Amino acid sequence: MPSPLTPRSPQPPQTPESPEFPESPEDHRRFSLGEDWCATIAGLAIVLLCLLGAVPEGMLP
Amino acid sequence: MSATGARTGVRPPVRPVRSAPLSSDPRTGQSVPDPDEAPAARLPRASSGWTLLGIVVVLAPAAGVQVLVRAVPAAAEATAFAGVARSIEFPIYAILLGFAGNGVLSLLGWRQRMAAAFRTELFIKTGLVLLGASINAAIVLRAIGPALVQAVLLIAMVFSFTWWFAGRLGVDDRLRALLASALSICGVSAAVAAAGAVQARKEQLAFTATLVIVFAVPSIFLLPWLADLMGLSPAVTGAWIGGNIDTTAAVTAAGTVAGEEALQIAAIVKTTQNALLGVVAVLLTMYFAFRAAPGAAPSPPTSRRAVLRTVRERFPKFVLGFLAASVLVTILRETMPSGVLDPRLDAIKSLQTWAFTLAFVCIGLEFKVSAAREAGWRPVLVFAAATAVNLLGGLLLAALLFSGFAF
Repeated sequence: MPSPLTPRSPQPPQTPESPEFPESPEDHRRFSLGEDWCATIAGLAIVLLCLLGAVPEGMLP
Repeated sequence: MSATGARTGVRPPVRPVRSAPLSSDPRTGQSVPDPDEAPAARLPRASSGWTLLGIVVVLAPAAGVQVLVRAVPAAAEATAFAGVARSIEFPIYAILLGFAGNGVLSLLGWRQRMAAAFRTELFIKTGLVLLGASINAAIVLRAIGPALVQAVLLIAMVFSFTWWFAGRLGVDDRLRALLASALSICGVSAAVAAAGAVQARKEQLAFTATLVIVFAVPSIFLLPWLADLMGLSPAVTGAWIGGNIDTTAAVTAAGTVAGEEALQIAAIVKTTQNALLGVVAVLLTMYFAFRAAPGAAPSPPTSRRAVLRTVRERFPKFVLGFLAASVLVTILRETMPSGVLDPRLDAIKSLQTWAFTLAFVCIGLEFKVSAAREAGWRPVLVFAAATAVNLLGGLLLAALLFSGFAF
């Protein structure tokens, strides 16, 4: 069955270089895994720094 | 068939799709770029300069939000709008400023160049790990059971309805899989996982992702308002929000608007639902390999090890950080004096707010409706109908499972 999804106008600028929609779903899978771990590590690092008192009071607006 | 191809849901003969189903070079295993795409149609790769500028574009509105949340209520204090001004939470300012930035950047033609800096998922996941530090592990343990039951039932209900209704409207099987996954589990991430499982076209994935955002953003404001109108408890509100809104970022925004306790439950429910993504991805791969399109889907994971690897790869890793932060702080509450611990938890809370603010600004900056207009009415109707089913089913389950939940 042909796909019902066909662009009506010139293809939107979702190029292979676009960070929003990468080359293939598998590329996004690899990218998403990296992002997950980055967020986990960054979040836990921030938690540990704060719990150690490395973020002084009044530093943050 | 309409001669003009007008939106009757019936398509005129189409020219060859510019992106064929993605395949890999059998020699290298690398994805093969689309040979039909003209070099002139490609935009220049985002340079580090544009990305840095994009970071400034995200930071500036986020700083502006910190000003607005204090300045607007203060300015409206003696006026008729004082009540409204006090009730506007920071996600609303952040998304609106993001929309404003989106409009300006789109007019200037700069939005796409800066898009690499618009890291909604990174900011929201970092913020959720920080949120874990403010949730007592005992609450997580008590909520996870009903959250799991709700997730399994709601995923099954919404996936089945979407699959059936899309089939009745004649939507392509692969697009059905993307829509059903996105709606029932966790939005774009689920659509990406499903796209890999069923070898969907890139256009189908882009379209599904756009639909997810188009429906998720209004939900940020709509669901908290409806919950307040119906007098739902914070736990039921949070469970309803977490089980309904498709993206984790929008769930977080809506939960923030609804209140601290609702946010905690919404985060637990949503992350529980997200964790089931791997299971659904495996099942989809098997269905498409054995039944829908034998030979067209990737080889299904037939060994137990392969199944476990797929589930592990799809598991959202930030959930581990969320749980670790919750456990760590729960232990410290028993061992550290509150006079020492509380200011440090306040610092974590401030940074959590910053992370969420950055994410909500990015939601506004990334919002795009144009791609949805190009695809016709059938998938949009499927999405709208399934969202309604999700809302009703989710409300029923949230009320049944969370109405007696105490913090």
